[in-house]
Amino acid sequence: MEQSILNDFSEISSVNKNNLDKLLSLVEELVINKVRIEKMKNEVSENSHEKILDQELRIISEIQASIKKVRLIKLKTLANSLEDLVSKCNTEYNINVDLLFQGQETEIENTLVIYIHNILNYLIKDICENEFVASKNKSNQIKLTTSSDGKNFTTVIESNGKGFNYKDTCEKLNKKDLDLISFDEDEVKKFLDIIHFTNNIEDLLKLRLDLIYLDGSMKFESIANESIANEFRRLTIIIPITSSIMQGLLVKIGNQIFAIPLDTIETIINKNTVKTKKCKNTEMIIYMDHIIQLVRVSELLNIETVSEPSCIIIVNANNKKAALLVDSLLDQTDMVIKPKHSIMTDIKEIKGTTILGDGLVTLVLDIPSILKEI
Amino acid sequence: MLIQMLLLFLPINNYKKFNLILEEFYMIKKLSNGELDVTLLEIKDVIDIKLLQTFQDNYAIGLNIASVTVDKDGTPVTKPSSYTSFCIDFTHSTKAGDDRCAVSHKKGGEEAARTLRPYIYTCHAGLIDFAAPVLVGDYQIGTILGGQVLTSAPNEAKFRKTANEIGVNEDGYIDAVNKIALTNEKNVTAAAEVLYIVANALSQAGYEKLKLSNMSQNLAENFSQISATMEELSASSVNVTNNQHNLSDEIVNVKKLSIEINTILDSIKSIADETKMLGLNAAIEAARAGDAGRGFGVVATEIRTLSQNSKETAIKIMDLTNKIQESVDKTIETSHATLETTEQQSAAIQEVTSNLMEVTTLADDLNAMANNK
Amino acid sequence: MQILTFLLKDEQFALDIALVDTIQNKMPITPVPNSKKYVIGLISNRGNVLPVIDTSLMLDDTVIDNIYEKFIILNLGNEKLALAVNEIDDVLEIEEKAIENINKDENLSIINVNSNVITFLTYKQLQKI
Repeated sequence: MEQSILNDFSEISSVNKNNLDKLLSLVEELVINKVRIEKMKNEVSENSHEKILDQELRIISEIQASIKKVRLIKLKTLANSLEDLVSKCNTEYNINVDLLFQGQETEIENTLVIYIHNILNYLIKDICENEFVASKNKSNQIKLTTSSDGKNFTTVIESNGKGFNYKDTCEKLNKKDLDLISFDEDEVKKFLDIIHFTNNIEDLLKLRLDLIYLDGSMKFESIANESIANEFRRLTIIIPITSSIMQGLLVKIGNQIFAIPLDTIETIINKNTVKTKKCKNTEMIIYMDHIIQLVRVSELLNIETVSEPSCIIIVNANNKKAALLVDSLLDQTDMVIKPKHSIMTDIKEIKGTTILGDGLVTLVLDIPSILKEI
Repeated sequence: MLIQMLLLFLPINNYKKFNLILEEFYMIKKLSNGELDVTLLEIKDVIDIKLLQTFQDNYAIGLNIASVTVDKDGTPVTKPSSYTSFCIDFTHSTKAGDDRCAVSHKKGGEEAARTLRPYIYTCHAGLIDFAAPVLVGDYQIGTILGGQVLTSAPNEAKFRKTANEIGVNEDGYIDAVNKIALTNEKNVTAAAEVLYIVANALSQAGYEKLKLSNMSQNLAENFSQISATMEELSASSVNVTNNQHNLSDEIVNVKKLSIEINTILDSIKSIADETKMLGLNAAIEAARAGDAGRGFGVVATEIRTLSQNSKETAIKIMDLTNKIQESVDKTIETSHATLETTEQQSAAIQEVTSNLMEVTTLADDLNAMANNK
Repeated sequence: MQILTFLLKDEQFALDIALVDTIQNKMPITPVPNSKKYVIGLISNRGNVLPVIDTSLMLDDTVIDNIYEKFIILNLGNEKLALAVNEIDDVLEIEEKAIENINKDENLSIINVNSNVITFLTYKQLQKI
């Protein structure tokens, strides 16, 4: 059942008409500019060049914004399918569940929709199967609340069933033939529970490998699983609204340039300004009366340093801190992060890749992973 | 001589013209080999007539013997000296007498010419005359005639007869003949000998001088011609050097062009490589398109073949240009060698020319001296 | 079926053209730290970031220091990758049955073309990357 729905989903996409119109007109503008650019190629004078290029950049920025908007669809589109699911569950498990779907006007990216749909499918089905006593009489409710505050997208599932049991769910999922390569309890916890920080997309992707396409970075911030037996069980899923463009700090390690997402950075200091201490094999620095572990990134990445590293970047993720020692500081930049290729699955230190102005691929460090490692 | 000096400053090609004029001026006839033509010499060419006249006059008075010098045609070149009244006033006064004198003189001269020695004879009128040939080598250029003396008392009857034959007054004729000096044969012979020796000495000296003058002139002429030729040679060798420089420049140009060609060939080769890649990508797309791409696949194959051919052609051309460069390098070497040689040649010619100029100057000086009159 | 033949050092190899997305000249590669040893690094191609595989090293552990000139961009499933090769030969049409398996687990396949033995890289081999 899920299969066919999701298949349909991937072929049809509902788009807000206004958003689409805006996008199309921007593309038309782009085409018009093409003629001017071609002329520019032949002209020598550079005054006109600047104007044309500025215009081009403006159009592209607007297209970027427009694309994001076009990609947004209302969650309302899920409503029918979820209700169908619930009624089927009702029949199958002999229960009587109502689905209350609030916040249907919330707009999220259409890629996320599929993803959310997957999760909700499993959760709803699971809840129907396990948490409600088979009885036509008792009226059960699954309350689905979605909202978006521009920065994060929040989904709350509440049920008045008996409560959520990890183990059972794990076994059940184990039995399902989900085309997974490896699947253990911890991983299940991770993506069902999502207690702590992960941006291990693979785990999330494992729900439906063939359907989910993720563009941009996805991370689950915090999921609180408030589960109280016999009362409302609430699962909150918070997904940051994917902003394709992130800000990053470019640093040099050895002969190579790396990018560190700016939102993980607390501060940047010069190594010479702090005292270092060594304790067994671990180096520490004392900064503002805090003792922070010093991480030589070059060693982590097995890269040879060219010169004595002098730059310390204090990063913070999940209330864990570290002082990353890099060779030198380059610049701050906007970047579009692409998820890493499957061949780099094992490389925990890398979060994804971005292409900088020089056309070369630049690796983006996965700070949370690094913090876990040390 | 002055004219010859002036000629030194004239352009070479006018020299010949002026030389002809010069010849006429001096009336020196030359053989084809530049030597004097003896057969064309006249007495006045070899003997200063004024000097001869002076000598002739003083000799005649001193020895009391009449004399006159004639050229090879018998035409007098000097004024007669100490002619007797007998001859002037009587014998020569009539045409008959004059003609007879001429015949007599001619005969005397012919005999002298035959023997190349002074010839003493009795003239038609009965006087003793002599003819002494003026020679240049063995060639007679004139005769000195003299005499008009008697070696014995005159036979009156004979003279009267002559007078009547020639139509002059008998008595006057006899009076005149009696005034003629009487001398002996030895004196006459000696007198003739003196005249003969002196005249021939003068003519010989004059001839030698003339010959020298001619030779030095020839020398001067020859050197001038050599000079002219050397200048032409010099000019043409400068030409050769200039042409050689131009040739060298052109050769270097050819080398530059062939290097440019190689650069272009490099870019052709990389275009061929890119085309091959394009052809392969096209084949990949064609394969992806399945049946629909079959025709395109054929095009893709042809593109690849074309790119291969282009590359091979470019390589062949590169081989050729490399060979051209090798050849050009060799040519440059040779050209440099030639340039050195022509420059050496030019220097040598310059040297010869300057040496020549010195010699020419000497020859001209010599000529000037030889022709100094 | 059509195959693309290419050279690694002096040895000839081939693969199914259906797997090939495009071929291109070599370009600068960004090395990836802690990556598998046959992964040379990453390149950016038409907006995509793909890994470049040291094909010689991947096939044979002992071959090192091969200077590559060309990349073959492969489409494997929903991801692409680039095989670094020395030279790209040609596109040939062969019969499928011309591919012979040398050993049972399909690790080594060869094709005999005009008495030339070419090693054929199978999909399974490539998937292992």
